[in-house]
Amino acid sequence: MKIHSDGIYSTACPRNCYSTCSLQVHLENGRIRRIEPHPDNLATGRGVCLKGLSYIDRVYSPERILQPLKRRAGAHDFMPISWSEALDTIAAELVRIRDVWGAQSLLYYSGSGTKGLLNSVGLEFWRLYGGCTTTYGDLCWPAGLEATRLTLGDNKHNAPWDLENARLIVLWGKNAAETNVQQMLHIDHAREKGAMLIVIDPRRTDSAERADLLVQPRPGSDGALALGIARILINKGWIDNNFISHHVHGFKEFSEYVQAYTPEKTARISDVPAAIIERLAAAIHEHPPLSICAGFGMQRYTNSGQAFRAIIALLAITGQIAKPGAGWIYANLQSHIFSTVRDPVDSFPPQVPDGVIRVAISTALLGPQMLELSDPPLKMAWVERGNPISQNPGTGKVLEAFRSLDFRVVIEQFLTDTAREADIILPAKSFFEQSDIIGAYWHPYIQLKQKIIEPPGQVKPESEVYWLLAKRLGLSVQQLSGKIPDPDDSAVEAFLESKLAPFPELTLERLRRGPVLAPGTEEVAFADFHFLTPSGKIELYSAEARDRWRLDPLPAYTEPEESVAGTSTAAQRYFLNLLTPNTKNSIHSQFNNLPSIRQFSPKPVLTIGAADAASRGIANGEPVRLFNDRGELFLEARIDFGLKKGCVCLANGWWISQGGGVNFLSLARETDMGYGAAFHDNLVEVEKVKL
Amino acid sequence: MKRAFRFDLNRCSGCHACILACANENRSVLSQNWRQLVTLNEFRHPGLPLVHLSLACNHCNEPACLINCPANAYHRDPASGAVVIDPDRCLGCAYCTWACPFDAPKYNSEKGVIEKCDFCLERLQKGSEPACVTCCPTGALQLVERCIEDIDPPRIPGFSRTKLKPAIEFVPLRENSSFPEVTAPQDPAAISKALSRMIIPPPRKISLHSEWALLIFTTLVTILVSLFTVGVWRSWQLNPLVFLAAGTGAMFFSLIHLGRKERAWRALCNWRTSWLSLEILFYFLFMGSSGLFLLFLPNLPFWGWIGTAVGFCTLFAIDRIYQVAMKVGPGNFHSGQTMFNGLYLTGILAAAPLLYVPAGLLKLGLYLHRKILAYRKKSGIRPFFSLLRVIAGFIVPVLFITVLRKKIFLPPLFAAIAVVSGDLIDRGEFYQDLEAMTPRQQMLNDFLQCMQSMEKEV
Repeated sequence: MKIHSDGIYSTACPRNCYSTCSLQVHLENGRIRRIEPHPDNLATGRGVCLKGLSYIDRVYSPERILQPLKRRAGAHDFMPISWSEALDTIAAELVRIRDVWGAQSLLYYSGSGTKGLLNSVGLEFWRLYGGCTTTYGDLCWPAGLEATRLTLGDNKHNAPWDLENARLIVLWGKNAAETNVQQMLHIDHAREKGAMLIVIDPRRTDSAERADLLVQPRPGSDGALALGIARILINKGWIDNNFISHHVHGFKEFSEYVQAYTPEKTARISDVPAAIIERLAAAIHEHPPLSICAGFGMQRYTNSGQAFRAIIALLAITGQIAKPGAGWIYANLQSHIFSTVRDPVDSFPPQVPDGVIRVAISTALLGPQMLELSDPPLKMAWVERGNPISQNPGTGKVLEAFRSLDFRVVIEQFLTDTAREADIILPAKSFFEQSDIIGAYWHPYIQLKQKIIEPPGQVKPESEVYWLLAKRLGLSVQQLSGKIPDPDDSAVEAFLESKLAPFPELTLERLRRGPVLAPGTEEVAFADFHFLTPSGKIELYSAEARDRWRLDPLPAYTEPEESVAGTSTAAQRYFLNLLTPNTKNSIHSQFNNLPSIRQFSPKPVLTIGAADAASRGIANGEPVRLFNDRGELFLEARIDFGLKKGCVCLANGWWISQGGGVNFLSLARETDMGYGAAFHDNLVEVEKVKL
Repeated sequence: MKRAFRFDLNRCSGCHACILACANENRSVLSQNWRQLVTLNEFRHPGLPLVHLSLACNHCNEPACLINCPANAYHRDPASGAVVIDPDRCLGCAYCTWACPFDAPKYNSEKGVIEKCDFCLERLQKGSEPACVTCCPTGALQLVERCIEDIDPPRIPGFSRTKLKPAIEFVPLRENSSFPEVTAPQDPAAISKALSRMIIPPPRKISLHSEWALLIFTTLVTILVSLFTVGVWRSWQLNPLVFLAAGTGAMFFSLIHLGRKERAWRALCNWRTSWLSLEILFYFLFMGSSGLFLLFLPNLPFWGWIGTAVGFCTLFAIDRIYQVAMKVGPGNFHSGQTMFNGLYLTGILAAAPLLYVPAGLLKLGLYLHRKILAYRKKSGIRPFFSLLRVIAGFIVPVLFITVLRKKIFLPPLFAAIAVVSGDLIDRGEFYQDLEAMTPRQQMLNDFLQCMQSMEKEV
């Protein structure tokens, strides 16, 4: 085994997280001794979050899977097997299934568990294998991405540190303190300079704690709230007519449409008092420049793409785009330079199928569509970088779908809910164990997460697993060339160098020292007023919204499908909105299994407002049953006087085996645009459990 | 250059990174993080801010740990001003964990010694900052040059007001934005009422359950001192070997709670400033002088009275030890403290009303006073034990040596047994009444006070 010499190595955390921190890893006696922030990253240089610090626990965890495991026949436990047995078994299954059902009867499911250019190797392998079925869309953020694309033409925003130039910061459905903690420092710098902070969130989060105003709308009503604010801005003349005439398309139609959203009507829909709506409009008028930082949770409704378009419209009509301290801070894909098509379009199904890769399952609808698929039906699944059993909506159906297959391979570090369903589990690398290159979606840095330690035990990186499988399937070196690197470090580096080749300022040598701004980074996004929309302007009226998504071309407000104010059958029996946010203790289902993190969040708790608890006879700390038609969970209640009435809150990511599994209650359902998952269209009830 | 932590209350969002950074750097035991986070208003009362406070050691100018450590295990690093413990000198008595109101010294049960924040001295020497400061993602924790000798730190929730001169600076909440205006209408009074029912007090650091060996030790010492005194006074023939064996047995109980028993001798090291050290010193002197008297000089009472004086010094030192954690009101006198127990028991054994009447009345008065307070607070009343304690400890022994004197065999002995039984109950309560302040407890006290003052405003 090659021993890496002790010292300090630059790397970057590849999780599905805003911050994508640049790290300095101290290696002592061949072991990771400490993890510290890399000061060269202007966005994250100040510090690391607790998850980043828990990697020492994670990499060396005694629970980590370090060798291939095989399900004991007819049992629920696993036994260790050798790599050759694992690969032989998988290869035999692959050949059998391809011969009997065709290659497309294999589902290749990859999640967002880790970023990197080598992730593309998987699909290259399945292409060589003869094809497969894959998913389109995304669980996380596509409704917001698509709303932004339709309106601004591209997903990019000002550099994170530019937030310090804002005079008004609105955290709209974003809890940066837990999901993007480094942003809180930039916010505080702005606050020190006198900026106002408004938080719009049904919860009183740690991000809201130092705010001037906390506005708590009914979940799912944000679009109406934005339209109500827009009406006041327009009618009071608090808009930038010059900006509108040059850069905004559809203002006239928009301003007519919003007239229906009087403060009274908006207050009725959103449950935000009319006076507060007027104060929000006045704050926008009085404190430019305005930055709106929108979170991901708010766009997990069936009406949220349209809601996002309405919120972006507030910036468009006041000219708060393309300036320092101003803008729409949602997703900054300026570092996504390696793909010709950027998200969200990158995740849409191809208009013309290539006949090899069947992109046929919407990620949001994974369970039902896996079961429905025919010609050929699915027979085998290969899961990597994901935990669909607990993380995709409708866990009941997802479980049913996975259990109906003949054979399942899961690549994992730990025995997650999905790994527990596998026939063969292959051990997954950690990001310290293979070099790769990553971008980010908040700051615009390109980073090398470099190999620092050898994989422990018998762990092999995925690219090596594919290479070994390809050999077993009889593929030649020529066929693999340029697609799947040989399993040694220099081949991996050559692969990465080839990806960097188009960008002379990016070399592995330079990236080894730390983060590098992506070529062409705009510190102030859209400063050239170049909007990649059909009209070349910011589109409040979007023909594409109508043509592609069959939606109103204006950002019209509709109730979410499953809403207490709606007419669905659920609304008659369930009166609480279930919010399933992320916490600082996990990235979805990662991290919370580690003792170093678990000490701060020992068990899943259901947060409930005091009034909702009282009317159900629930006291703090009591066991409760959380339920709807789709499922139930037994949890401990925690009363929170800051939570909006009519809401309950349970962090997503808790494993079923930890007493969680929040998606037993959600329905597989798409957002209005972008093929996202409408997790938060989720009405529930809570009752006290009698012991 | 002397250093201090600076903590910005505006910036801390309770992310816990400082705790893990510290644990990684110092490889501390999982359940005993050297740094801790305490939170005001976790349930989010709409009329109060939610405030996090991250604390490790404040490296006080007058450090309670260093002053009270019997083993001289602590020293101050002259360069940084850090208060540092040398684990090789620590005997694991954990007395410093009682003395420090910031809960900075942590007992490592695997190693049997105390560990604590040392400003990451090794890092400082290499020019780095402490791990918690390096990793704090919001800049809430910083390291500054110490210039706080005379500054009175502002009132910070969760931060105990002490005379220890802690070396920490605070950036208090900005006045105009200490917490958000919440738009939903709520009734603060009803919320305060509901909230006070939800609060769970933090776990106790000291209790009878954890300190039972010390209860036995201190009671045995009290009995031995009293017995010896009456022996000298009334010229009783005490068997020296039995007496010394009992004294050695008592010593054994004092060792039980030590993490590193083989270093018990180190308890004598800091007799200059540690009452714990003095207690052990006096106790050795008492054993020595009483042994000398009983074995070799029984006819020279002068030597006996010297032994008595040293014995009562031991009892005085014992009581002083517990002062760091005693909070029972006027003068902090407790009816179960060893000096009073010793005087009362001596009086009963000697059947000397001039001693047992005032000592007994003092104890009874303090006891009843405490019970009245307990009744008002509706906690710690313990009616059965209290009644038993009064009957066994006061009524029975007085009856035995007065009106029933002629009717029973060896009246002072049986009276003394009754006294000791009553005092055991009292002493048990004494341990339950000890309360080492912690940031969690302080935070809870401050929260309750915030709610009270808010109600007054309404």
